[in-house]
Amino acid sequence: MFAHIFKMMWQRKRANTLIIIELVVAFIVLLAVVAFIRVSYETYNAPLGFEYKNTWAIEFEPDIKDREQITTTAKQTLQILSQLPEVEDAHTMYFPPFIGASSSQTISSNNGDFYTLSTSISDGAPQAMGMTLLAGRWFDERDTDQTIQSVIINKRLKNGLFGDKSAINKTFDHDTKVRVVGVFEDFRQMGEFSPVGNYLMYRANLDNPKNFFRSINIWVKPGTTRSFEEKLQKILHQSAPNWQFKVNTWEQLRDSHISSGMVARFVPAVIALFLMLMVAFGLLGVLWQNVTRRTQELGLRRAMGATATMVQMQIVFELLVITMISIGIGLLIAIQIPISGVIEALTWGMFFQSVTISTVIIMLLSIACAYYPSLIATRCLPADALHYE
Amino acid sequence: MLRVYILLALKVLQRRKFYTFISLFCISVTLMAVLLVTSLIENIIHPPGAERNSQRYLAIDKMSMTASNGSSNQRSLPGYQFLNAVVKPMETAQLTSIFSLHNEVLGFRNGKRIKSQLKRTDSQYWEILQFDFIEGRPFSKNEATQGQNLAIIGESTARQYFDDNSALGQTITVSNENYQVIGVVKDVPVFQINAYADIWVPLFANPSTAFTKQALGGYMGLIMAETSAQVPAMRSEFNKRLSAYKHPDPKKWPTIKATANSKFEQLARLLDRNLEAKPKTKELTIGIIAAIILFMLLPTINLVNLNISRILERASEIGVRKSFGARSSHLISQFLLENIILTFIGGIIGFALALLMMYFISLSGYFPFHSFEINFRVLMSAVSVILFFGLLSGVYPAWKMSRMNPINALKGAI
Repeated sequence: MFAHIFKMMWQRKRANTLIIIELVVAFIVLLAVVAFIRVSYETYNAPLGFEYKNTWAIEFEPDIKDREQITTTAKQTLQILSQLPEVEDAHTMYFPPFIGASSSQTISSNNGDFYTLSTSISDGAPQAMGMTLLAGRWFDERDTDQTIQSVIINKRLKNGLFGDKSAINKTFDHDTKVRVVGVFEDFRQMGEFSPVGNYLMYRANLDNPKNFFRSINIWVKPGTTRSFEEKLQKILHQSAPNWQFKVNTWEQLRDSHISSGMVARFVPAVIALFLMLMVAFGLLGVLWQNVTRRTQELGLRRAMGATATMVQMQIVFELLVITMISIGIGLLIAIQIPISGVIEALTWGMFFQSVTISTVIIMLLSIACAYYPSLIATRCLPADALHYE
Repeated sequence: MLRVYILLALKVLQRRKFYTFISLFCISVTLMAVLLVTSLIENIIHPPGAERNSQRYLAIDKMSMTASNGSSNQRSLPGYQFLNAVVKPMETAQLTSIFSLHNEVLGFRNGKRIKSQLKRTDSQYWEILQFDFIEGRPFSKNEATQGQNLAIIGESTARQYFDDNSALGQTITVSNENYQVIGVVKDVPVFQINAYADIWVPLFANPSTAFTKQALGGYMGLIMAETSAQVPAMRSEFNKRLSAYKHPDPKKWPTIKATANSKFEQLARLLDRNLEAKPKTKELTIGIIAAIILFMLLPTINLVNLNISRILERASEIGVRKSFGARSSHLISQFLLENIILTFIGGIIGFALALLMMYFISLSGYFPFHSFEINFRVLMSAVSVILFFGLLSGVYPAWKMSRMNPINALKGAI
């Protein structure tokens, strides 16, 4: 029966052009939103690579531009901070995590170009953040006064640059020549919603003003409350009177990153929901009208012995066939995205999952829309059809 | 004739309530979204409130310096030294102002932290921007240059520090500095980047004067002409003075670029980092219109489908009219009119929905202090969107209807 309906609808495809166009557009819109949320779910659940509990970020804005002077003052401040009873550990970083800012470079190698985020970081900071070391070692005194600067890189960048081979003690060009001393699991500085990418850390040498940094991060004793900030601000003010300091806990920075990330996904989802609702109402209206006009044909079928269920099936299947044709066309258009690889984070697996989800939603939608009109169709009486006109 | 058409249209709408409901739902929800977006853009480009004179001024808010060997390029806000040398002596500008970007500062009240945005300004700033003072006054030229520790604060900041008591003459402590409050102004929304802050203090109320020697970073300039017609002259004078400007260290930084932008250009500059190129205002306009049309694509197709169904239902009516000599053009105009009436009713509902949404968004505080305002321009764009929507979704069905064969139509088939 299905094959028969398919043949019928295929022959009438011109009459249904507009419905097909509508469903194609609806499918593509739905697929885009579903794929976006699917990819977001994946990045959100990918390991962050570090802990954010009991850590505070102090971003500073100096009143001067001289890097040497900035570094001297910042170094003093760092020392004062690390001696406070509430503070367990204090380290410098270029930008703290979760604030949506990072420095970035493109590393060119024989294996291609790698867009990489980076930060300078002081000795001991990776351990304090609970990062996982996969190979080599963290920074220490051995990295002082090296002619070639030491760096540590994340697993993804290591795989890109060196493949399966060990990366330890290998060198590559990153502004200047650098040497890999360690490989870590990951450090997703920009937070859970940021794309999974390459990361590189170089050693913050506080005696070298070239190694600039914009934040001091402190690890406080568990149980330290926000009220510590008043004391902290006083100390910072004494240490550098004309600088501006912005203090936030990492947890707080993460919270605002998560909530803005959620809003950025919630809004397209709501828009898609409304569009689908519109399409559903539209299909219902079109089909309803369609059925009332086909009294003759449907009544005749009933007269020839078709049961009510069969008539009902016919109406639902007709719309399903149209939907399937539309999904097919929509898929042909949408598949160009993973084929061309424009969106790197969208793997084939995720694409097909999103296609499945969208297909099911659209199919259910069209069954729901066809259900009420199909009920009306069963009310066509053979008698009405036979003395039509 | 028109009266008959309108009456007929209203009758048709009442006949099949379900179709009317579906159509109105599509139209009103779509229009609500379009209205929200246009009102947001309008509020950024033609802000009401403190920046209401935006047609008359330009903001100097982007600058870059390139080193002599070309390898190093610094890009930021302009610095005080640059603005003082280039903007302050301008002749075509009636008023000129230098002020800092807002900075986050922290105050405490009974151990509770209060976060605010602090801006340092000169005295002319208060003449260019029209703040609504609830109480008190702006600071005078003397107070600004002497760098007295005075502050003007926003309404909600005043409430945070002093509850409902008058803030005038009180002292607030932010970032370990004491300021005496001399004025309270209405809150400024975050989109008004030139005006936005919670606390405004004099430029020189800064204990350090290191900033006066910086050519780059941290400050913005505003230049205001007497009328909007004089803005182009002001722009060309700015460019002339810019090319005459020399960095204090001209050997190291021979190339200086900066731009003076209107509100729309400020927005368009976000698209392109190149300071030499013209701001991409045209691209931005096309982009916004294209996005709105793309968004309306699905609702339009939906409406076309519904309209075709409606027409088929009225086949016999059309057949009768055709047999009695109605011309195609009559039928087309009748149907288009019907459709436009329908879209207008949907438009009014959509307008009400948009007002409701705006109220809830303002309540949510997602955009600090932003209150949507619907002005004539937003209203006109809404009306044109409705007309466009109504015509587009009506033309094809109307054309299809006018081509119906009267004999078949009379029989109730196509």
